[in-house]
This record gives sequence, C-alpha cells and structure tokens, in this order.
Amino acid sequence: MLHKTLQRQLIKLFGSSELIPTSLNPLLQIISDTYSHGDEDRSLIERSLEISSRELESSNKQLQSEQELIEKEVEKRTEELSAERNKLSLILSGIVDCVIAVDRERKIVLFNKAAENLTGYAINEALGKPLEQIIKVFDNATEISPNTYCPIRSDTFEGIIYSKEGVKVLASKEKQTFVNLLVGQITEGLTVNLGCILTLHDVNEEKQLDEMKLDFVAMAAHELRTPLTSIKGYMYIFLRDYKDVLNEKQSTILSRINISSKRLSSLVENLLNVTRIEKGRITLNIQPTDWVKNIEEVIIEIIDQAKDKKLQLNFIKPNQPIFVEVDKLRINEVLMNLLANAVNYTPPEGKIVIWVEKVDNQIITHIQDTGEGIPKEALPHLFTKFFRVSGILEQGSKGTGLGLYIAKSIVEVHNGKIWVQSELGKGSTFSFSLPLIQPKNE
Amino acid sequence: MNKQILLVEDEFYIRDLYKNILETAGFEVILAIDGEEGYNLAQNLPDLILLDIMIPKINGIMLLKKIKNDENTKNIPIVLLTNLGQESIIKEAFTDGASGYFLKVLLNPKEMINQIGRFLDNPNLKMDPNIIAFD
Repeated sequence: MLHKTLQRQLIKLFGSSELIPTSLNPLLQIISDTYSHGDEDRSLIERSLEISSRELESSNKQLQSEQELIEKEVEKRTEELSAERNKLSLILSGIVDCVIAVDRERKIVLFNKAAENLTGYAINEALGKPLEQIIKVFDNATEISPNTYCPIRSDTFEGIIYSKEGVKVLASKEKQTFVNLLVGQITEGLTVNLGCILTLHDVNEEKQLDEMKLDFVAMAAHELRTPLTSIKGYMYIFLRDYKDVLNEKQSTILSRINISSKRLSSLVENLLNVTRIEKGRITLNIQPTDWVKNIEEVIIEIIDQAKDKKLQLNFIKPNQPIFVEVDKLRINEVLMNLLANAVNYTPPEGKIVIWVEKVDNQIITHIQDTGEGIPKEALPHLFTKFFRVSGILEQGSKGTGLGLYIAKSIVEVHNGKIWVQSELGKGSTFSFSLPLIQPKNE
Repeated sequence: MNKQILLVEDEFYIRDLYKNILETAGFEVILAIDGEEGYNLAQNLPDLILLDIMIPKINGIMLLKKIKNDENTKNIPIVLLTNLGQESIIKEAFTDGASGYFLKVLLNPKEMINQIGRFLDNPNLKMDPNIIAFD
C-alpha cells in the first residue's frame, strides 16, 4: 500500500488510481517508503519536542516555585530588616538620653527623639547640618570647641574619646540644659564615614535638686540660728546684769542653761558642717596662727563645763612659740570636739591633759583623758559618720556621731592626720598633727 | 555726744537684745523694723548702720545697695548683722560696700562692741571677708 499522501498526490495527478502506470510502481514504492520514513522522522521529532517541551515545562515550574520561595524569603528578610529598623528606631527614640551621631565632616547623621526634645530641633532640621549649628557646649561660661569635644580622628580606637560632666548645652530658641557629655567613636568609623557618637545625659533635675538641697539647708540653718541667737544673747545679758546677785544654786542652774545652749549651737553648726563636707565646700581661710594661744582660747570655752564636773584640765604649755597655718575657725571646731568628748566621757574627779609635741615638720597635739576608754572593736569605726560608742555614764553626751567625722575631715583638709590610743576603763588620748611653719630665724 | 547706731532688724527679741547690748555700751540706738523704714531713718545720718538681711519690704542686700548709692548716705559704715552664711551672699555684701559682716549666732557681744568701735574710729575700715565661715 502506498503512503496516503502519495496516493492523494497521484490521484490529483492521474485522476484515478487505475490510471497510474504500473511501471512506476517500484519508483512509487521507494517514494512511499521515503514518505513513511519522513513520517517516522517527524514522529520522532514530534516526540522529542514533546519530551523537551515537557522538560521545559517542568523546569519552568521548578524555577517558578524556586522564585516564589526566593520572593518569600526576600519578603521575610525585608520584613525582618524593617522590624529591626523599627525596633532600633523605637529603641533610639525610647532612649532617654540624647544620642547624636555625626559623619567625618561633623555633619549630623543620627538624631534621636531625645535629641529633638533637648535641642528643640526636629530630626529633619538637624540631619545633614554641621553639629555646631545645632548645639553649642559650655563649661561654665567658656565655650568648648567642637574640635575638643567631638574630634574627628583617623585612628581605629574604639571607645570614649571625650567626657565631661555638668556642661551646659545651648540649642535653638535659647534652650539651655545641663548635661553629662560622653563622646565615643567606633573602629569602623573610617570605613562607614562615621565620626563621633555623642550621648548627652540630662542632669538639669539633679542640678536643680542640688540647688534645692542647698536652699533648704540655708533656710533651716537660718531658722535654727534665730532662736539660738536669742537664747545666747539673753543669757549673756542676764549673767552680765545679775551674776552678782545670784546664789550658788542659781548660778549653777544658769551656767548649765548657758552650756546647753552653746552645745545646741555647736550641734547646728556641726550639721551645717557635714553638708559643707559632703559638698566638698570647705573653703579654708588659712592664716598663720599662734597655736599655743589658740589652744588657750578654746580651753576658756570648755573650762566651765569641766569645772562643773569637777574635772582637772591641764595644758602643758611649750616654752617656745609655735606657729601653724590653719583656718582658725575650723581647727577650733576640731579642738572643741575633742575637748568636749574628753569632758563628756570622763567621770567626775577625772583628769584631762593637753600637750603638744614637735615631730619633723609637724606639731602634734595630744588630748588625754582618764575617761571610760574606747573598746577595741569600735576603734576602726570611730571617725566615720554617725558612729557612736555608747557611753556607760548616765551623764554621757548623746552625741550625733558627727564630731569625730568632722574633726577628721578638717584635720585632713589641713594635710594633717588624726588618731587615737585608748584602753577600756583607763582612758583615751586623741592626737592630731598639723604642718608647722618654720620660723624665719631658724 | 554719744554715737548713733541705726539697727534694722524685724525680729522683736533680736532687736531688743541688740538694743540692750548697744545701749549698755553707751550708744544711742535708733530702731527700724523693715527695709523701708531703714532707708528713711538712714537719711538722718547715723554714725553706723547694723543691718539684718531677712527683713520685710526691702531685703538687707537691696537696702545696702540703696544706701550706698544715695549721695546723702553713702559714707555711713554699714555692718550686716545676720544669720545667713552663704559664701555668695557674703561676697556680694562686701562687693556692694558693706564694711563688716557678723553672723549673729556666733557673735560674742564684747567682740561686736569692739569691732563697732573700730568702724566708728575709722569709717573706711573693712573687715576681711575671709575670716567669716561660709555655709
């Protein structure tokens, strides 16, 4: 049988299949075979194409699904980045402290919410601007140059490169704030064009609180001093006018009121002293002082109290004059504190001896009593704030525990030392040293 | 003739106290209970003015400035008699022309009289501000 296509073509050519000359049959068979081969070839190609196309389709599908996976991954990563950025942004705006970062030309590249609040500039007003256009930094009245507090360095140091407490920052619209300034840089700064990272910690409230505390102390002191002035003043007048008409009993009563009011006054001044010491505000007025004469003056203040308790008070005067450079008012507080302790902690009929000793360039003043002494375990705490060794005598002073703390602070600020030797039941010797002034003719 | 001292102090007890001390020492004492009265009485040219700081109407520092800026009264020695001890106030007082500064609660009456005597003998005398203990 001849190939269908050939048959059709032959019929078209000859009109009918009977009219095809039989002599053509071998040739026609060859042609028909060729057509059949062609069919086979075509079929093969078609099958190949089908396979290829199926493979393509499947690759396509795979690519597509991989693309979808990648897109999902990208979406996820973008979301994560976005969330990270939001988180960072939130953290930055949640940071109470002002954070400003600048590039290596000192132009602002980061400006958090706190920075907006502190400076009065919005973030879009600040970004890209030179730092000194946004803030100015002052130490008291002197301006600190940006080159000082925000230096752009070429090293790979990572950490804090500038720090200063209590500086004043001036920003927009006269906004003025006191801050603690901390400036850092990172190693990668050179590569990512980052200069300094500044943190400004607002201390306005702390400064204001300090001001309030000082005001309170001043007012309290003034209030306490007023009635004390009256008590002391009227006691003075009363004794001046009526001392001679008083009998011994009346004199003693008045003397005790007098002593008590002096002690009260001393306590008030002691409380003020502690505040001064805490603030490091002991301003000393150092004058050359005749030390022997000074001790004698202080003894006069305490002698009545001593006599009242029938205590013997002796000052062994040195035969040479001694000169020291001291703040007389303050050093006398030390002497008064030590003498008052001696009087308070020594039972009646006891003895208090004061003497001085020259050692190298120092003059050491000793105050010895025959009092109840100090237990060993109390010795390391003796000069600390509020510490008291409880007295066993009912007449013992209640004390604020501040006297020795203040004495130590004052002696040390004079470059001296204070110490004690004591034996329970026998007595104590308090000693403190002061630098000597060498007399000119030595 | 006795020297005249103008005492400007609003607290009754304190006013009476210093009046007593000063009169016993032989001074004639004029009293003012606030800054306004103090300024008016200063016009009578006392020999010395003792001035509290915490007084009504015009406070002691403002009154000090006022008296020192007044042609009539500017040469009267003024001594602050107060219980305020802050360094800034003390320094300001001396800058504004005070001759002296006494902390009432620490003041020994004998010392006060002696110091007043010194000011009266030499109206240009000034106390050393550094011998005062600052709060």
